[in-house]
Amino acid sequence: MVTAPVVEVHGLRMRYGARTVLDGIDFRLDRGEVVALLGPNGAGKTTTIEVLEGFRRPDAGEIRVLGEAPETAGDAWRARIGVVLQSWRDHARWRVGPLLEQFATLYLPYAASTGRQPHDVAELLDLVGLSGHRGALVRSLSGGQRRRLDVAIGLIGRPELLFLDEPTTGFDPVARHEFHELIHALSDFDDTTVLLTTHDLAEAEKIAGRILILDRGVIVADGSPAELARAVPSASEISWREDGVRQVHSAVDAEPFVRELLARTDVTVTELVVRAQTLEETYLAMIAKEDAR
Amino acid sequence: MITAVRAGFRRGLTEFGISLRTPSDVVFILIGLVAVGVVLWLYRDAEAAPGAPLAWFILPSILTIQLVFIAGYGLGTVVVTEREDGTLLRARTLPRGLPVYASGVVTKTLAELVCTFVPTLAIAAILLGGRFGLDTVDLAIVLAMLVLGTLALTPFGFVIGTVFRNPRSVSGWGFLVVGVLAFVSGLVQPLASLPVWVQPLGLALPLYWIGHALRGAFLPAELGAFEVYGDWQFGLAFLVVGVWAVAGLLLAPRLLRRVARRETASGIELRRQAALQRA
Repeated sequence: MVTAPVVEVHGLRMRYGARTVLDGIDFRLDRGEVVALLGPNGAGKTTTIEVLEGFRRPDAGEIRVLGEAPETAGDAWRARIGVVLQSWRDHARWRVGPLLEQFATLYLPYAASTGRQPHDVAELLDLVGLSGHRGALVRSLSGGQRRRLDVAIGLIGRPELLFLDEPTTGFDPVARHEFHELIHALSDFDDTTVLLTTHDLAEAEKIAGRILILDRGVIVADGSPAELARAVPSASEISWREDGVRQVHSAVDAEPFVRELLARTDVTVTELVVRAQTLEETYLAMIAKEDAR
Repeated sequence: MITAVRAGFRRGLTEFGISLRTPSDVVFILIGLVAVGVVLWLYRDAEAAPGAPLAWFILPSILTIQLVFIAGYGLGTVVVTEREDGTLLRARTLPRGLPVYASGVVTKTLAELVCTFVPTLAIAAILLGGRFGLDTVDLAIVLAMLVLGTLALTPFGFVIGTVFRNPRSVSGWGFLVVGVLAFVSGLVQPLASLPVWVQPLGLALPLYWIGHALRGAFLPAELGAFEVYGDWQFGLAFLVVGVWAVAGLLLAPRLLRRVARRETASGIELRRQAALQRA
């Protein structure tokens, strides 16, 4: 069976007044993919996500999300999608447990048709690392805890497709690590498709199988971190100690250099480190290239 | 739809429970009840006519003002506030979120109305020594008009909440507007005694007619002479309030869907920044 794409976008255009925010965007997401949408501020990341979520009407373009046009899709479609927006301040007077229970019941009528039962609240709180806060008032949560609650709300209906707009803002390193594990688990075990935006490039490299870079309303790159690295002239950094003296060399193709280095019999090579170009370097090179145009 | 309303009902009860545990909300209701008690106490010996306590004129006004305060002003403030803090947008991210949200707000409002009307009538009963001057038909009129009035004013709470953008201006100016509306609707002094140019305004609004029907029930038939048309017009009262109810019920869901559709995270963030600068 050829699986239909989860998200398919052709020629998406969007303008606010005279300013063109999205200028003809094409991409597709397949089932189980984790894709990071990167780009400078104002590149149109949030707008793209809001169009896919059905919150904004695009000016032009053909958009299919789970087989339907987001702006006209109904509640059964909505039940298959999880949304975590950039900032939430709602339901401050509620307690964490009752709020999640309330939202979970909204998915029950659709469980039969989607085949996905809403999460058990205790399990879900454990999953996002809030198990000790079930009775806490939402407004008493710290920024990072509030963000984890937002992620929990996005996950409560066990969505097939999850949108995350800057999900880890305000997370401490431990929470961030746990969140990355959670995303891996979602895509591996639940076959959830995830589209996220982030400014943290190390995060994108770690959790996303594919990267989309959006700049000035167009997609300037689409591929795995390794594929993107090959697309820009780049070099790996090789460092080692030669008879106790530190040496650094930069090479586009690291392997022949390292082989040659280790074949030398006249010196003792220790502490050899080969560091491939990071996504951050690739990203900066790509954005700089666009700026130079 | 039934499941959405049921979920909304539970949601509204939770919201009301939160309200009951929030000191400022409870104090607001208590102050209102104390004011009712003070007004009725001050006029405890006054009579509208021989054998008819003035309280029978005041009580319908109190009930009508409470109705517009809770179903119109209070509900409108809730909706405009929850538009700003993203509750409405959150409802859009959930399946059937908007009907659940709306029925939750209505449930909470109804609970507040019951928790205001019942103590108000209890206070009045104590001060009047249990004498309400209502026979069975009168009682039916009072209950029917309170229900129809709720049906007419609740949708306009949603209209207020969707037309205005700024929660602080709604809660501030709204107080004043409710006061003016109460005055031009003859709830403070009889509409017939107000300037002639004010009267059509009062007659077009539902508040005069809600108050009129309630007064007609509480007061003896001959006091209808003090009304604008010189008599009790129950049919007309139910017709006017009914038209307002139908108009509101047609308008409110459309407006709510419309503003909910326009809410976006970036828009809410912009307003949050603006609110922070004002503070």
